[in-house]
Amino acid sequence: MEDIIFLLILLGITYATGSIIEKRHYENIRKREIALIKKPIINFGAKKWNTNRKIKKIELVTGECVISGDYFKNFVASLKNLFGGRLTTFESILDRGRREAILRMREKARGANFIINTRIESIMINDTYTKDSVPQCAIIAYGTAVTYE
Amino acid sequence: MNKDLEDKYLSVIEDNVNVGQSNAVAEFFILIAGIVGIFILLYIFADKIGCFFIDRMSDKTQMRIENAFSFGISPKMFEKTDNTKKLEAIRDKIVPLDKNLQGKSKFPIYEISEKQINAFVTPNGTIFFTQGLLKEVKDEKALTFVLAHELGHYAHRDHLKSISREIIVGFITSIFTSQNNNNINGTIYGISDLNGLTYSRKQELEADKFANKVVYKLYGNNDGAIAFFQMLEKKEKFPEFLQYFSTHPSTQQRLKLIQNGR
Repeated sequence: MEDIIFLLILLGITYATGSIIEKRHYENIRKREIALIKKPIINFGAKKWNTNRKIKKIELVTGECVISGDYFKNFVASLKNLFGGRLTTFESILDRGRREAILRMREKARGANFIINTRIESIMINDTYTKDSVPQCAIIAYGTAVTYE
Repeated sequence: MNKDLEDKYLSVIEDNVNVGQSNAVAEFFILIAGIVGIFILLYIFADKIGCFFIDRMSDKTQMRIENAFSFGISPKMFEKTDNTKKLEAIRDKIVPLDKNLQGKSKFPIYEISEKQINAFVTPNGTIFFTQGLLKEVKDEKALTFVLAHELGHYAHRDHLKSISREIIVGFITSIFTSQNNNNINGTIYGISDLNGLTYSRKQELEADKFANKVVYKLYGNNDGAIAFFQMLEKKEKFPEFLQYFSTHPSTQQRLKLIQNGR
């Protein structure tokens, strides 16, 4: 009985803190995305890049981000594990991770005109097969920043 | 960049299709309700199967199972006190009344030092009374009722039923949670921790009925039992609706049962 009460309290607290943190993170992401809407432009496709203009600088830009789910999210996901279905609580984490990583990459390339050949990858940081692995989402975005003269 | 494209990007930022719109809390409650439902069905299923086989079991098999569960309670650990001698005298009066109690366990009675008001019977028929109970209850009729209640559990084979239920439920849950093998060990420990065995509320009521009959046969009335439950009722601080979370029926309900039934 005490275990259940403790669990419910923990779930309530982590739900509250998790949703506050997520809301603030989304607001932050939205603000930064709007600020960066014009420059630099990201190009995901081209392997070759042809231009007639003179190029001042070419450099590798990267953005990384690791986000973990809160206790409540992990709990709901582990329950879903039993019945199956979309892990909707983890969808927001992946979305936040991807957007944060791309934003960091673009912030790194501030002043550049283009980021060409951008790639997004997810990486594994902890060992997911051990008992106390932390459910997390690690995303790395990288590309080549091109600055015209 | 032209204006249209800028608007398009803005709308992509505002309108996020990658995140599910469902409410996590609602999802949580639906999932919990599903799991609780599954467990209730599982318990009912396990209960039915266990009762079916155990009611048809011969006394010989019962003794064999009980001997397997005589888990290291050495009588030397507990001394005979005046209280236990008194209880043993009552026990010797109760046992001849029911043929389900005869020729099986010898029902040794021991006293354990705990403040809580409680008494319980282990699978091999050993009965424990807490010191808290013995301190509060001096009346012989009330003690007869408590003892007859515990013997009623034994006579109805409730101990075997709850063991079988725990084993079936434990087995199925260990399949559910078999990602790490510790769970199976945990389940086995949980089953072997027989002091924590609980009976269902229906079984408790049946045992109360049994005890009530015994008290009537011995004394012709059940005043002692009623007084005992009234004392318990005064001591209880829980509101009645909490009974759904506990293993025993509420004291009020039990009081009503023994007042009406005989």
